[in-house]
Amino acid sequence: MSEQSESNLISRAQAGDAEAFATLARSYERRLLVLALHYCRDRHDAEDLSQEVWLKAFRALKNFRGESSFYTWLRQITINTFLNDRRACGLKGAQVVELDAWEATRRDAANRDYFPLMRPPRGLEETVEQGLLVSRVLDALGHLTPQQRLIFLLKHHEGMTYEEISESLGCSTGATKKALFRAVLKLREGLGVELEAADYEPHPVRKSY
Amino acid sequence: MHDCRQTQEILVDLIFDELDFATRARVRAEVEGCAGCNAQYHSFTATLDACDEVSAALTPRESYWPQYRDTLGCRLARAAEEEAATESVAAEIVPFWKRLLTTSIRVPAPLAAIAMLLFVASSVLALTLLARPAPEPVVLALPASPRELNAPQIKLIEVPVVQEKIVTQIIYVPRRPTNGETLRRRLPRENLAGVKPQKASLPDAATPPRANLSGFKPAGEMNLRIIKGSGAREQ
Repeated sequence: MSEQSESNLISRAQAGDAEAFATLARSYERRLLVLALHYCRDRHDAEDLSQEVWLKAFRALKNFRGESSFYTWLRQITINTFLNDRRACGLKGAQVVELDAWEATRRDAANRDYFPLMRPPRGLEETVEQGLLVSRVLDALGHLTPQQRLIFLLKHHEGMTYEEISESLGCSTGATKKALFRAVLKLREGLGVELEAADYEPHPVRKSY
Repeated sequence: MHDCRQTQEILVDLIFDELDFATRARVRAEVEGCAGCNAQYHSFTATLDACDEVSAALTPRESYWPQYRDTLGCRLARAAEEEAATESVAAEIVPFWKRLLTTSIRVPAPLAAIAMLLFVASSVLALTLLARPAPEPVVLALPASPRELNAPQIKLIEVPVVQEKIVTQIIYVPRRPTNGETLRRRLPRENLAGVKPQKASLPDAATPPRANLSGFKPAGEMNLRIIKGSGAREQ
């Protein structure tokens, strides 16, 4: 979507045009839902959370003055909603990881609709492998604290800088760096990625990740 | 000097491209030259690769979105209705001062015109009175007679009025008891001024003791202080 058409849609939505807002939402709904899925690790919670973000954005759109891009503004609403949800989760107690994918994948591997959000896999073997990987990653994400998870997602998925993250979350840059480092360590541990120092062959380091 | 621990701590910064050019080049060289750091680096990148792969897998397929949009549309419509209802309720609840300021009453036109004329007339009158200057003192200039012209000129000098104040204070001191004479004690908080001396008598049990000056005698000295003038000119 071009910048001009986006600002046009924003103006119309601010004037109360619901259709314009829906068009605007379509541009970012995938990105937002995937982020929520990683954060909640549950499809229903992710749907609910992402839609809550859209509702808040709809209510607050009148206050949007165009000082930042629409997505930056929306992302801040997303972060605030996630943080509030995290607090709510903390009150509720344990978080539920719905996708116990290994058992479920074995049981329902033939069913292409098991992961209703996933693209249709090509074959049974791939389904199992993919399901296993999804399960392991979501499980590993579950071992992070909500703050570590959010920082990791903002860095890895959203490509925000340390300064932007610390500003959005209201913490120091040092704390953000530390949380991200711990998050990556935990993820590596959770995914069981092994160090290959024993049979070391000097791998070239990527120019940029 | 290569320090594996220090290098590994900034590996994440290197991966996420958060280092400046010089540091990035140095760390990259260190990682390529150290087996342990190289293994750490590649384990981190493998971890992030796995997360990327899952992100792609979690992206919903196209058939999913109509239902999502329907749900969102319903929730948005409900939110819009709620917002409209809230706004209408807020519009109904007008604060008293606002109602007072915005309330209008119907007045017959002639009455309104008369009231307006009266208001304007009284305003003009008040302004005229306020604008009028204060009357100046009238100075009567009498023609001087030849006798007065020859008389020495008299100058009037303002002299501050001398005020006199005489303060008289009478102090009563108790007389010393003599030969077993009982001293009548003054009751506390009783004003003795204006109380006439009366015959001393023993206090009766039935009647409460009255304040009197018996048992007291005027002091031998009377202090008089005369103050002339006032303020800075006090003497």
